[in-house]
Amino acid sequence: MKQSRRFHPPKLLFLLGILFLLNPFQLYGATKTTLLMLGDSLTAGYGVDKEQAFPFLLQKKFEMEGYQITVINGGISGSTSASALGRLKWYSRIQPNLLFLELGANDGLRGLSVESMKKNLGKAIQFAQAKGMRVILAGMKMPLNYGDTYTKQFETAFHELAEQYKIPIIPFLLEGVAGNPQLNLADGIHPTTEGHRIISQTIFKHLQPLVKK
Amino acid sequence: MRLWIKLAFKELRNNSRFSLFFILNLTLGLVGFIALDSFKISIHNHIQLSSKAFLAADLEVSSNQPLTLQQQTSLEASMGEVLQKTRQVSFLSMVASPQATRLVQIIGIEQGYPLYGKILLKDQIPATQDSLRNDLLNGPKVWVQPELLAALNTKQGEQLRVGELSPQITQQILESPGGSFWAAQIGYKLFMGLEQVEKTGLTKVGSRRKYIYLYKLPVNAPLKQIRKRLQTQIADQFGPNSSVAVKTHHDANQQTKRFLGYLNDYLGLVSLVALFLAGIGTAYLFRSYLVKKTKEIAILLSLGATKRETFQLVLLQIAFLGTASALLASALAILFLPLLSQVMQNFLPKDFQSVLSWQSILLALGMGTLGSVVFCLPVLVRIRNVKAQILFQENQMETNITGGFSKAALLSYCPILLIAWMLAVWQSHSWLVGSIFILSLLASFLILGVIGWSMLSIVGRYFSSSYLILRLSFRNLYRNRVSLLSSFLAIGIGALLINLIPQVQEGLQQEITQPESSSLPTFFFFDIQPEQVDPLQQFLEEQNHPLNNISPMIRARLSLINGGTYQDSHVHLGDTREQEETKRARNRAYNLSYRLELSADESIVEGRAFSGTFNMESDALPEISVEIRFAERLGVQLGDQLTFDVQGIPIEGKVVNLRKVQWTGFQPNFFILFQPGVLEQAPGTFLATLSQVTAQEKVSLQNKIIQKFANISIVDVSRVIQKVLDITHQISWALQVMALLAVFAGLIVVYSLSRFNAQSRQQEINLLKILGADFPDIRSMILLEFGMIGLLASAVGALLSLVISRLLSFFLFESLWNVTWSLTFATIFGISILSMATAYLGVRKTLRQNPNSLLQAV
Amino acid sequence: MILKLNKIHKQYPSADNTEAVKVLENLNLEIHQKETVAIIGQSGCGKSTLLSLIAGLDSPTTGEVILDGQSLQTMNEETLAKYRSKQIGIVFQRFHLMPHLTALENVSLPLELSRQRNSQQQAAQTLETMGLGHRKNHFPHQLSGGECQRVAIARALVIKPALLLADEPTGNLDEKTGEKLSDILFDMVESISMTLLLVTHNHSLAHRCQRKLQLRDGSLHETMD
Repeated sequence: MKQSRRFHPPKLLFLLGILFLLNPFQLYGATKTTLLMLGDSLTAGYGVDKEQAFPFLLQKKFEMEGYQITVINGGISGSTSASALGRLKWYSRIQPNLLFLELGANDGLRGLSVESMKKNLGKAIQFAQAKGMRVILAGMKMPLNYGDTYTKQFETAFHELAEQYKIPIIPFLLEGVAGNPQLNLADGIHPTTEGHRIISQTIFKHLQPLVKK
Repeated sequence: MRLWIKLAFKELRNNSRFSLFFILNLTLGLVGFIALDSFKISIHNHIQLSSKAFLAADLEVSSNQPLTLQQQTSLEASMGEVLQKTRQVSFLSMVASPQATRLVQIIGIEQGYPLYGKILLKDQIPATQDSLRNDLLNGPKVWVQPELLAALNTKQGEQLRVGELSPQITQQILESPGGSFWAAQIGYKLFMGLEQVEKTGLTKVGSRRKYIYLYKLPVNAPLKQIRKRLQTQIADQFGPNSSVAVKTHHDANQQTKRFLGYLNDYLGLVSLVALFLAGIGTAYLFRSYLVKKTKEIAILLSLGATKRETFQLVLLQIAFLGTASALLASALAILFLPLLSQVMQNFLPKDFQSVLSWQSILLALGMGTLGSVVFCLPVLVRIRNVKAQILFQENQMETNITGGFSKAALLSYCPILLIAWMLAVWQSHSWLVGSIFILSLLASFLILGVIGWSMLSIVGRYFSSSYLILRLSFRNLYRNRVSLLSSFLAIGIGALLINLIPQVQEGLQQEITQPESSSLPTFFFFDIQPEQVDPLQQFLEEQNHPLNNISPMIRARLSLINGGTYQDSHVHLGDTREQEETKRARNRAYNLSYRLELSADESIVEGRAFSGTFNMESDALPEISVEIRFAERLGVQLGDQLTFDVQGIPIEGKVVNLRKVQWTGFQPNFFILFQPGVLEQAPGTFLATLSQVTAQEKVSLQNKIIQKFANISIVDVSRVIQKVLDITHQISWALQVMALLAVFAGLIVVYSLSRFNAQSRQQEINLLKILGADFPDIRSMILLEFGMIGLLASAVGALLSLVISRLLSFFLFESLWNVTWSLTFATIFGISILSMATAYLGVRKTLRQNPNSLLQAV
Repeated sequence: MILKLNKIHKQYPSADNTEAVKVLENLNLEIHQKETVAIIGQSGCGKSTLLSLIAGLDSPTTGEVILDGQSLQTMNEETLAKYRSKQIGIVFQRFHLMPHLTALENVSLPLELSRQRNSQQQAAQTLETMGLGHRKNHFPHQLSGGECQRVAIARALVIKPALLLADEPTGNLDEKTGEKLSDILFDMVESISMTLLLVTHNHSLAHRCQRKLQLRDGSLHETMD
């Protein structure tokens, strides 16, 4: 992935093939984990450097702890749950064996229907499970201004999904970060580098049991 | 001294016809200046007001946390005088009627809102402060946009559920201040009293809301400086990462901000042109007057007057004539300009206030009085060399005072330059603009001087014609080349100034004018999933509202330029939007799109169109098109290779063209476009627009789409676009009107110069008449002479104006410039005709007069 | 001796700055009080230059102009102007009246310049003696050429100058008017015993002077008829 070969899209599939070949996971078999982090601006690291966003921090953390892991940052700023399935299909070609699903926050911020969000995420989880990926869901909460009814409905949706598909859940991804002006950028929702560090710790705690050494 | 004052006035009185003629000519020029300058200020004020209505204030401070009273006071201390202040809180929330729940933008306001602009209620009735006090702010009540009623399937008078409160809907809001494009209408607006909002429980800690403090400042408050001051203070007080931000009304909307910036600089140029037109006219008249006086100065010297005394005399006269003209011009302006704007009422925008600017009048007065001394200094310095012995000369006395370029003569131009430079900087409010203007004007003077001198010399020396009139004209040109040179210069610079503003205007106009081909969107659709494109299109087809501008959008990081890392040159520490931009740049994530054809709002500036869909078999790189200003920001040029990280996969392409985008088209446009056949596989979303949806259909259509395609975000952009267009229309109108006025004022000056010129030829015409020349011959001679001077001077001047306008547009208007030959030719033609017509009328008058009155060689 | 020109040289730089044009060379002249002197010469022989030097409007390259015992070369611009306004009257060929002043105002101008009282009466009186009392409120362009020149003479004489310079005073007039004017001029000069230096190529006019000198090759030569 790191070598920047001149890329010829016509040979897209061919290249993907090469990538598989080059992928250490392929070479070393089951000893290595490929973690796909599918998310929105939080995962993409909006407003901070790529090397300061939590997917990169996690990679470092796991490596330090002696894990063999490749973390793929699949975050797209502004993306909603509706894009989850399509993007998962794109990435399934590199056969990740662990999926971190962090989508839905934008659905909530835009006041979209919680039901349809649940449906979208559900489809993605089903697809991942069918492909043999283990899935961990990032729970999300809405700021209070969206009103009691909506925020509660929104928050529970994630837990209901986790229960339905029997997958582990991080109850609230932004635990200890959300609402703290010191840990968020001026826009009040995107974490600072320090915020990302805390988030990476939260994720690590929940993710560690799922990754083989 | 008394003797000289007496003498000065005696002469002026005895020569009252000439004095009056001089005063009228100068007055004409100065009235033109006052009118132009005043109107410029009126337009500026008017558009400022529209812009302020965008923000509802001069300045706002916003924060995610409420500011304590102490914090507010300390910030306000940096604003200077605060005329009025009002607070506001704004956030998104889910609001429910018994029938439905919707995302709504809640705006909590208090008494005093808005500080500029107005809230327009049902039936186009503007909300007054009384209606605020008695209705909205009095108990749990809300005012909502009519669309929200439909979306929630409820009516005015019903109750809504807003957090823990159930307020009643008591009014509908058709129009309200505010409106940045992207924060636009993701939810419709709901207004509430600030105190009531606190009771909803929606603004407690843990909610995402914005507290906004709106300020009205004095008219002349230096907003940019205040903003800068506040920004430093905020960084000190709240830390560099705080959510506290400052915005002036200029920043309220990105698009209008840019255009307002253009307008500001443009009006600055207009002021400069007005000032220099008046200056050229004044200087020319003064100098001609002084040159005429050379002989009288010599006589006085021979009678035993000292040079100092003779200078005193002519300066006194000039200062008097100048002052009289300036006073007359001011009086005329004060009397007639209000009348004029009354007559023009129908052509002016609604609520347009035309003001008479005291600043313009003061400038005109200054030019009339002090200008006399300053403009005449070079002539005076030359007159110093006038020796009374010219009176003894046996042959025809020539008042040739060109002399060599002595050090003193050159030095004498310094005060003019210095004062002109200072005035230029002052009028344009910019060191850069003022300096460029002065320098290019100076260069033009030199170029015009050289061209004029060589032309006059060549014409006189080498052109001989067997045709008497031609020969006479040519010889006249040659013999009078000293005095003709100054009229050549004046007309040339006049043409330059006249043509300059329309040239600059043309480029800006094209940028600002909304392209006709594109219809304005009502809705923007975001986040359409690839598999939804077809069903959505089909669905809307059925509703008779075909989807437009369906554009794929793929998120990618720009990782390499030409194989190396790059530095984003666009690093601003300014307002939030710019900070955001910087951070986005740091993230280097951009939205890519692909399409074969350019949209109606786009045009290729450099390079070639896409060759077609990407050829799978070819070895070539995929083709990329980059928006030109964005390319400048990235430092990307034609032929550069860009590597994008498209969600984990590197894709490289080559820039084949740089594109200009007319953002006023309000169509989805992208900084970076790929040719088709490259990005289709990459995961992305689509955006699209929907146009021409009537207000009645809007909500029901929206409801239907939401039901079928729950994830698609629909943004109602009609109001924001309307507001932006209102301002851009006004700006566009202002550009045109000012260009027109500048041309008109310029022609007046050219007219007054030509008239003066024609008058000074009286003597010669009479001589020819007495010698028995045919009247038609005399007329043709004069027409030929003035036509030649007018044509050549205006041609050179107009061409120079093209160069200068190009230069100015480079520095001021991001190189928005188009050469408009038709306009240039019109200027050249118009000035030539005007100068000939004026001369013709003058000659006719002289020919009718009895030659006896001018017979004696005095 | 009222005027003494001592070894006057005058040269002008030529157009191309290579060789100076010598106009006057070792010119000497002495004129006594109440003497009338005519200088005749070809056009371009330097008459104008000579007049300029005597009037103090120009200075010689070398040599001295001594008027009434004082060297003009020692005076600064200011004293020279004062001196001129009190001691020298000039009559030009082309009259050179101030176009926007009346005859009376033109004549009183030099008196006012030298800050003399009763300028109006004196000027009016002088005009009267020139036979122009009825024209005193007319502007130059309303007067005939002869009348203009009479006003010019009045203007030159009104200050009772020590020396009257006349530059071809009849040159711009027809013969008859010219004769009449020279009569008036010489009458006036005689009646107030004026020293006169006249430059002309009109021989009949030159004849009326006591001395005639010819300007030739840059210096003056006595002539006999």
